[in-house]
Amino acid sequence: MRKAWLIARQLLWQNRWLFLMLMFWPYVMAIILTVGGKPDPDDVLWMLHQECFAGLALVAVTGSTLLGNEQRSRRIVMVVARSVSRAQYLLALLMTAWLPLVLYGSGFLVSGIGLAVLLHKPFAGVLVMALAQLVLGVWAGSVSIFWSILLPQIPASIVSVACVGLAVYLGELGMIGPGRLLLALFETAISGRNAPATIGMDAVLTLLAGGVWFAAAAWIFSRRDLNLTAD
Amino acid sequence: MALDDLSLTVERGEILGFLGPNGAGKTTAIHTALGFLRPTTGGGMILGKPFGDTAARARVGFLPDSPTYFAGSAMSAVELAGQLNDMRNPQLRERAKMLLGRLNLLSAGKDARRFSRGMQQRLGLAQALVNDPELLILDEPTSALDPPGVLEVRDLLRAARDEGKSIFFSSHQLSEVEHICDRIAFLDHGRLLRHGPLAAFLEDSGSMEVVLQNLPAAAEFLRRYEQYRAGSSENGARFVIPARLQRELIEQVWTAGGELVSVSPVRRTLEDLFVAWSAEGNRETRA
Repeated sequence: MRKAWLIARQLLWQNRWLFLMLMFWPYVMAIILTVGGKPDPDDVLWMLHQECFAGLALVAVTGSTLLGNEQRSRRIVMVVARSVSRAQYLLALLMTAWLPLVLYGSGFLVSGIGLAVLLHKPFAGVLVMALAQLVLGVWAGSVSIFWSILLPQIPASIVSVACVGLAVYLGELGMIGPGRLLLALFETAISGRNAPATIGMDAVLTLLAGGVWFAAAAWIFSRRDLNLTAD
Repeated sequence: MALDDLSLTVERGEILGFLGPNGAGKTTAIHTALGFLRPTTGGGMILGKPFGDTAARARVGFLPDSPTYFAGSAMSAVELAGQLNDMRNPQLRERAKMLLGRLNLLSAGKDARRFSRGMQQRLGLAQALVNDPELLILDEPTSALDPPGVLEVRDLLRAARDEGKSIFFSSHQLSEVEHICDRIAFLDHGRLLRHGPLAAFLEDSGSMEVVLQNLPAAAEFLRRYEQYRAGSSENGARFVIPARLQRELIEQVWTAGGELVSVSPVRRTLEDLFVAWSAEGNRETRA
């Protein structure tokens, strides 16, 4: 974990400006909504749901492009030539993809609570959405890293985001775990109304599903060549 | 590039020069040993562990041909390399400082990504040495260095060899290899064509230089050796002949009343060997 953090720290620092800009995105959206006075509650809810999907898409796109970037720049050589296992390296990528979501989620939470207060509504739903987003981020990050091992960057990003969309559909069909948690994320109201009772169990199952995707990614990656151009 | 039954040993306190034309498979061999690439069949050992073993890599220092860095100073780059090899402060910081001092990088700028190529190469060497490795694998370590930089690196590598480290030195800079390597291995089309002490390769040309004076112009035997004539100097006529002919030539010169000035083995350069071995490799591949 320590080595993964050391690597993730470098990768995060490398992309710090992008991540900081994303952190402010929810505030920008909240300001846009409130420019004309008190916003419509339906607009606020729609915006929060869009932000949830954008947060997960951020993780999916980041996770699916990191490995390709590091291989293309050959920085990966500097890391994996040391005493770092392939699984530790992938864990570093997962942390790099997921930690910006914490920043983004904090912006989502603060701006969402601000809007709820403005609407004189309880904000339990905002809290539920933020936490569900973080849990789903682990899963989405693992899925995207899995695809980044098998596919080039752009197809990996498309497939990863498609997996998030597909999970919503499967949730509608009754799939437990990430599918139902995603559905809950998009159905929860600002006040927390509509949040299903199974949300805790689905969160645990989502983390487990993320673990399975990650384990599969680590297993495959440890058996594959790095994509480096030899002389 | 496929590698075919390649087995190399580097002894303690030795620098092994790893040579071969472009596309010979040198980088592939290094990447396979470090576990970046997986052999399609077979396997290998490095420091007694299977290729790619994570713990074994903590005992290896590697400098790639084009090192690249994260944003940050030279010190942070070296510290990161040490931390990833399980080193902790304060020893790590002290060693990093010492190495950066030796490589003239203590006052380098704040962002290693913006260093010149030569500075990046020196920084890569500091990273490779920070964990005090038993085995150093260097891929073109001096290709971007200026002459003073080459001398610094040469001294550093000699010092590392004297400390008992094994050094695997892959390079196209033949003069550098001639200066510091104890043994060489020559790879071509994925096959090891030559492997042995450098001095023996350089001396064992199989030819002798014979300088003669006062040769009778009409001497019959001279015609036979005309093809071996390599010019003349104030010392006399120079002949470069196969070693097996030297006795015969000298006897005939004496019989004819000529004078033998000197006989010495012809020392080849690594460049001669490189060209000859590359041609041999191409012939064998075509055959």
